[in-house]
Amino acid sequence: MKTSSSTAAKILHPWAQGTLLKKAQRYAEDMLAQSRNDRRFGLLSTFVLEFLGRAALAKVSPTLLADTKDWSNLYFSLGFTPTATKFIPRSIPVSTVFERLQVILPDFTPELHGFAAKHLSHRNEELHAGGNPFEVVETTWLASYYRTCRVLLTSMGESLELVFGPAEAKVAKRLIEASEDESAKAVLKAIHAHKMQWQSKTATEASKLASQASNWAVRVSGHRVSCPACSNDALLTGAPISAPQVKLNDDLIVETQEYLPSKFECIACQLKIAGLSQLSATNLGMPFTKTSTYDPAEYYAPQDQHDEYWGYEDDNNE
Amino acid sequence: MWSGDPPGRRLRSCGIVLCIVVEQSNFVDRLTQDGCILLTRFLPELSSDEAFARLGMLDRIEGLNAVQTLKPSHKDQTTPNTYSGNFGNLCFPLHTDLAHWAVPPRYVALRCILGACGVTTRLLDGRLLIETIGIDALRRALVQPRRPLRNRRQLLCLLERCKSGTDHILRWDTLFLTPASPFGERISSIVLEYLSHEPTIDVYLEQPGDTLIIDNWRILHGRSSIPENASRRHIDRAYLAEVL
Repeated sequence: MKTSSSTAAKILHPWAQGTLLKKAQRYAEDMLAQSRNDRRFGLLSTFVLEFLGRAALAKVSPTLLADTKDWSNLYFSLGFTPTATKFIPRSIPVSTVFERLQVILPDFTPELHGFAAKHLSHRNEELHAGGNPFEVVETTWLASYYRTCRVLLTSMGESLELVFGPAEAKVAKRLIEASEDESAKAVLKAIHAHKMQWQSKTATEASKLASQASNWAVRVSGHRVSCPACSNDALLTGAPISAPQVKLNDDLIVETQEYLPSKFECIACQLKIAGLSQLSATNLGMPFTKTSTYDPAEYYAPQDQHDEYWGYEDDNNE
Repeated sequence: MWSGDPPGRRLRSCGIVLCIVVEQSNFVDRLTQDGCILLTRFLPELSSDEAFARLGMLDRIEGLNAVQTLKPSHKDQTTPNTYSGNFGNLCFPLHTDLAHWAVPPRYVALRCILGACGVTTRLLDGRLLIETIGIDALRRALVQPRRPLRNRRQLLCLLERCKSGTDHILRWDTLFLTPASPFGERISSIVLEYLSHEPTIDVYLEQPGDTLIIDNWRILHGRSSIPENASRRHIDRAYLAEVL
């Protein structure tokens, strides 16, 4: 009987590119289920990054992941079962993974390596110290994060869509493009000009304008931020990038939805910025969460009750 | 539904093509093109070992004989780790053989030893499913074996890219696979819904030697229910790593 070595395989090696990539997919799904300003969003993003880094190195060879202090790890990485007693496979630390990738992948630049190392240091602080790095770190890191992920995925012949899904990949691409748009940095000159104008105003005038700006920049109209020119309350508006999430909190319905900003306006100093790339150049380009609170009765009330003719059949031309 | 059609005829149903041939020559091209092929009365005088060896390289699957005997069993007569132990003589849902393995075997060959009237092997071309649901969605749909394999429940995708990078492995099993993420759950429901209304080609393995070869990475297969008078049906199965 003719037989061949099997094409079938019961399990894949835990350090194989495919298994690591699937872990990244799973954690990305968990990550995107969180609100962007939730600390778990940041924490889970570090898991995704680590698995993508390890998968990219495994694509070259899983042996590169083995901790060579014990040759059994190398033997294990080659698909064998070491005979050493109480053997637990040990792989290299993630910092070494990124060091190796910087040498192996030309597109994994020192800048991206630096970002990856810094982002994972936040993870270490979250897990091993009392600090809360993801409570204070805003999602200004998202553009660099997605740029790093994209380089790692491209090295494996994959795209952001595979790990983050088509909708988030679209957001990621816009964030990356905006962060790379050097011409957008011209907006910094406009901010400087408005700052000068603001400083030339009298104290009375400035106080009156600041008060008007506070009353105008209410949350129902957009996302309230501090103006980069005059530091007064201003508004960011944009388009939704996720479906609304509804939760019950203290007998109230809280609806949250993620937005990608597209426009900034300050009525105190009259500064206006349009376009994600220009907003990114001023650190206003990160996604924001719009939160609305409703009374359950109001939220679930049939819309028809607001109909003056509620209770009658639909209008018709009978 | 097909029964006793003349050799050379190609049956079509919702995109799937089943080519019925008596000549072994040229069947590889047809198999590559259509994903499955039926050889009628293929060397009935040979043992299954020998007949399968004429078709390709037998794949030695861990824990299984090279040639396995498939006979109908009542649910309570066998163990719950088998399809018969779960579905008994009822119909077997469409599936990929060993879908819960990291890499399922490439080809499944089913050879009739003793046929039975009214029992069919159901086939559905996974390419239609992939076209409908989309490569990207299926590649992101995470699933897991329902039981640990070597103490771990590995993550799998409903569609995997082959090592060659140009082809895919489709996996599906409603019993041995469970969704491993909310997205995996969503896509699994969509696949289930799709399969519930998509017509299949039903093939009768009636005559000794009738041999059906299925590309297990592309075609989903199942079995109809077993009527009372068909309990002696006997099919031999082998996995082929490659066809000759």
